[in-house]
Amino acid sequence: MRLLESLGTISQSIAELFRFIVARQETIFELTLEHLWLVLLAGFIAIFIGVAFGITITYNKKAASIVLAICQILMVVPSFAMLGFLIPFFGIGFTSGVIALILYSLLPVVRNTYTGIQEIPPYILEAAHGMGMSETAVLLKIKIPLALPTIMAGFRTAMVMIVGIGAIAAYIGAGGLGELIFHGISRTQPMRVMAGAIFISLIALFTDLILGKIEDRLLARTR
Amino acid sequence: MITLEHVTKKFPGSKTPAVSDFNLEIKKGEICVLVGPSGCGKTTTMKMINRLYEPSIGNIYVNGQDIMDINPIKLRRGIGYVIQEIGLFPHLTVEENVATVPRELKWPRDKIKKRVEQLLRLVGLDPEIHGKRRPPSLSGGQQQRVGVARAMAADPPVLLMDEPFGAVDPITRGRLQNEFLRLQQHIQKTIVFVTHDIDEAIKMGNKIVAMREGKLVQYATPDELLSTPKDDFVAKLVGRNRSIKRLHLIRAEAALQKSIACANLNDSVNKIKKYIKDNPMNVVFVVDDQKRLQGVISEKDMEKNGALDNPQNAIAADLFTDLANFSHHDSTLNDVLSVMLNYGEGYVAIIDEKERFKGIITLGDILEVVKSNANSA
Repeated sequence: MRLLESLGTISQSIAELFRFIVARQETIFELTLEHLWLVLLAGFIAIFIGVAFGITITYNKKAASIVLAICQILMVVPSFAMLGFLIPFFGIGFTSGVIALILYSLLPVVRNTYTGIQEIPPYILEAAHGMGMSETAVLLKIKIPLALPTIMAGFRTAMVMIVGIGAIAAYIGAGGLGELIFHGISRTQPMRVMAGAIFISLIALFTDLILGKIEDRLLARTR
Repeated sequence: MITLEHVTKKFPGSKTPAVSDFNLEIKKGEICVLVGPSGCGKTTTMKMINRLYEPSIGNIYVNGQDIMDINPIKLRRGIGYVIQEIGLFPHLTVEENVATVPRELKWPRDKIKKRVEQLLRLVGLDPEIHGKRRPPSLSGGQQQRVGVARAMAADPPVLLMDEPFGAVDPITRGRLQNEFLRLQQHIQKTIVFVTHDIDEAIKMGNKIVAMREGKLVQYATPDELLSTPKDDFVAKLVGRNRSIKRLHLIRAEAALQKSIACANLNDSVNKIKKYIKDNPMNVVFVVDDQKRLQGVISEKDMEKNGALDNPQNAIAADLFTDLANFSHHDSTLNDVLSVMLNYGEGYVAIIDEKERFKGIITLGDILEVVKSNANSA
C-alpha cells in the first residue's frame, strides 16, 4: 500500500511538473536562450584566449608553468567567491557572469592546447623544419591541426562545466535558467527548481553530445 | 658541392665536442655515407649542413656558398631531408605530404599536381591508388617511399638522409636500397647518408666517412675501406668477413649467365625435355610472350604430372611450378647469395624491373666474379 501511495505521489508530481513547464513554456524558452547565449559567448571568447595562451606557452617552459598554475588557481576559486571578486570591477549583471565563465573555462582549454602541441612526436616537427617550413607554417599547418582533437576535448570539458556554473551566475543577475532555481528556492516552489535543473541538465547533455561528435570526427581525420 | 672546413660543434653543457675539426669535401652527384657507432657525431654533422644545428667553429659551403649567409628556411628548401622516423604528416594525404615544399614555394596548383604525380610514380607508388590515402594506412616501405618523394619534391640538388631505411624489415630494406640506387642513377643528387650499418654504407656509398668520437677517421671509397682500413677502429667497423661484404659492391649483372634458353607457355613436352637436357641446372624456365618469367619446370615436375605418359597433350603451361629463388638484375651479389642460401638451390633466376627473365647466377658464377675482382684489386 505504502509503495503504491508513494508511486502515486511521484506520478502526481511528475504530472504537476509537466503542467508547470507547459504553462510557463515561454518564460522557460526565453531563459534557456539566455542561458545558451551566456555560455556560448563565454565559450567562444575562452577558446580564442585559451588557445592563444596555450600556443604561446609551448615556446617557453617557465611561462608554461606560471600560466598553468594561474589557470589552476582560477579553477579552484569557488564560484560564489569568483562572482564576488568580479562585482566591484564589472558590476552586477551579465558582464560579470560572462567573465567568470571565461575564467573557469581557461584551464581546460589552455592545458589541452599546451599538451596537444607538446605531444606531437618530435620527429614530425623535425621533418617539417628540416624541409624548410617557416615557424608560422609549422604552427598553422602542422601543430594546430594535429593538436585540434585534444584542444576540442578541452573545450568540451569547459563547455559542459560552464553550463552548470552558468546557473550560479543568475544569482548576480546574469540571467539564464539559474533564475528559475533561485526564484524557486526563495519562494519555496519546488516545481520551478525542478524545471530549471532539468533544462540545465538537458543543455549540458546536448553540449556534451554535440561536441563529442565533433571531437570524434576530428580524431578520425588524424588516424 | 658540399664542403666542411674545420667544423666543430660543441653543445652547451657538454665538455667534449660532438664534432671536432671536421673536414670533408663531397663531390656533385655522389653518395657520401657517414658511418660509425652511435654517438660518433654523424647525425650532428649532417644536421649542420641544413642548419638544424649551427657549427660552433668552422665553415660549411653548399654549392660554393657559405650556409651562414643563406636564410635557413631558404637553405632547407634547397636540401631534401629524410629521417628514420620519416615524419610524414598524419593529418594530410600522401599527395599533400609530397606537395609540402612546393606549396611553401607557392608553385601554381597544376604544376604541383603534375610534380606530385610524377614523383609518386618515380618512387613506385600509384598516384591513383595511394595519392588520396593518409600515411598511417600505408606500410612501412610505402611510407618510406613517400618520405623520399616528399624530400625530392622541389628537385633539390642535395639530399640529407638519416638512417632512411632503418625502420623497415630487412627484406624491404634491401629492396628500398636497390630501388633508391636505381633512382639515383637518374636523379644524380649529391647525397649525405647517415647509417650505423656498415653493410648499408658499403652498398650505398660512393664514398664512406668512418667516424669516431666526433672525428673523421677515414674517408675512402667502399673498396679502399674494405681492402686498406686505416687503423684498428676502421678494421673492426668493417668486420672480419670482408670478402662477403665485398659482394655488396658487385651487381647481379656482373655474374649473369645470359645464354639460357627458356620455354614458351605452349611448348610441347618433347621441346621441354630437350631444354632440360641442355640446361646446366637441369631445369627449364617458362616465360610468356613478353618474356616475363612465369615459373620453372624440373624433371621431377614432368614425372609428377604424368606428362610423360601422354606427351602429345601436355604443354609448358600445365607443367611449371612457381619459382621463389629469383632476384632483380640490379640487386647485389650479396642479395643473390642470400636468396640462394635461403632456398637451398644452386642457382638464382634474375629478372629485370618488368619481370622479364634475364638469366641465372650459380654459386660458381659468384666465386668466379669474386676471384677476378680480387685479382684486379
